[in-house]
Amino acid sequence: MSPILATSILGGILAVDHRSSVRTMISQPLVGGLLTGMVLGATMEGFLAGALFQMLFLGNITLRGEHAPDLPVGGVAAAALYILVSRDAGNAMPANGNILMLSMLLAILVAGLGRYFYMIWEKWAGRLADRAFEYARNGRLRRASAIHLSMIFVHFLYGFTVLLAVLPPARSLIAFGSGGSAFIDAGPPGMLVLMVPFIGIGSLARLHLVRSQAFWFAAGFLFTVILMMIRG
Amino acid sequence: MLAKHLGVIWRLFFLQNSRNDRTIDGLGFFHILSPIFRDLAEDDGELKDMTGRHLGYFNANPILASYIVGVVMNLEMKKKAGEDISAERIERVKNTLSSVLTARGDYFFEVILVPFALTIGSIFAIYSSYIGPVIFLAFYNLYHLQSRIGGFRAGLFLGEDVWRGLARTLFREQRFLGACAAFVSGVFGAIVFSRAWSFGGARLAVWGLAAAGGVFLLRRKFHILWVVLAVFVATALFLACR
Repeated sequence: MSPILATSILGGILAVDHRSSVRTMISQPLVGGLLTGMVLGATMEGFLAGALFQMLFLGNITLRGEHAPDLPVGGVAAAALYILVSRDAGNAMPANGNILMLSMLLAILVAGLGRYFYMIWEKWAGRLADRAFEYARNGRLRRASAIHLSMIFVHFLYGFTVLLAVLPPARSLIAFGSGGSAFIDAGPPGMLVLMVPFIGIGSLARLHLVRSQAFWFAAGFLFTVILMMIRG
Repeated sequence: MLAKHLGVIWRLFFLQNSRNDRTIDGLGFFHILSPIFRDLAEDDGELKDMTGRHLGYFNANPILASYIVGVVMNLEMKKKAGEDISAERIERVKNTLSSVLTARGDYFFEVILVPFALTIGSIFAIYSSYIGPVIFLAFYNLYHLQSRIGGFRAGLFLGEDVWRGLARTLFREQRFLGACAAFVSGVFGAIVFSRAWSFGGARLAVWGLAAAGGVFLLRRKFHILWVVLAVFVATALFLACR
């Protein structure tokens, strides 16, 4: 099976976990990146890209009725692009910073695409729900349930199709964009790897710097700093 | 009967399949209960009457919706057994529980548990340890599955009485976990800062703090997607210009 097809199937499965309220959270990029890495035979690289993508949105919470970015598909895209383009480039370390940065950037856009798709879809799905209710009122309960269940395929197809459509051109685009001299050194511990978690800290601080929790946030920070100073 | 209950629990995992702007999870809620209606109803008229009561709007935290499903099943079975339970009463209980449990559930799972578990997972990820995702999944699913399966059982066996103690006792450890989540976030912040300082120098650490501050401030006005995109691009440009 081609790597892109395998990744797309995984993306579809994770989209179902996320959207259908199965919610085992294997769809979170932290796990999804690891799974993508396992599927593509580069576990550590997938884990790195997935975890970094997760850290971008670490303290993000979805309020009721708010349309959130589609992180599961974005996480798979980040990991897959990083692995595939790095592989194409022969894993040349100086180029990895560029590849990682462009993979993350495209993954953020993929996550955004999911947000807009579901904004439109949820409007449209209302009509299907109305039709299902009509069936139910007429005693055709199985047909109503079938409409409800059939929407699993919409979620799967969304994740599957987006990755199948986006990965090949994005792979070429990143390969083109990261060619030539590397402008970000992401060798371990790469600069981008050091910087991305700060973006998550901003959201986490927003979440925890409230009156009841600010003390504990500061305590955790100071405790770790003191521990590090003691250990040298 | 056990098979029926297991069937309902299975269906609970697909509550949000047909989420939409008009009835939210109304169709999902109906789908969960429809086999029970078929069992309870003796003729088509009764089936239409029973299903008609549950065709409409339903908006609740997907994990704690299991309590509501259990309670509604309990009430429908009691009504069938001849107890004086009106359709309005079932609707009222359903709506009240939806409001209470959604507020509690959204706060506990979305604001405390998920960020807490993800932050722990991310700390391990910084050190390239695969144990991070394992801890995240185990920690989250402990509460998730306990609430889903236990909630359905509690609702089914206690019926309306479930709500009396529920709002007070549900997730008693919420405050404790909230403090732990904030503490772990502080730990995460310190680790990230010290690594940036050690490996990238003061300039990088200061830019990191500025990026975090930028996200903190911009989140007041803008959607997370645009904030992350803007700060990420700015950081990439900063690294390129070093």
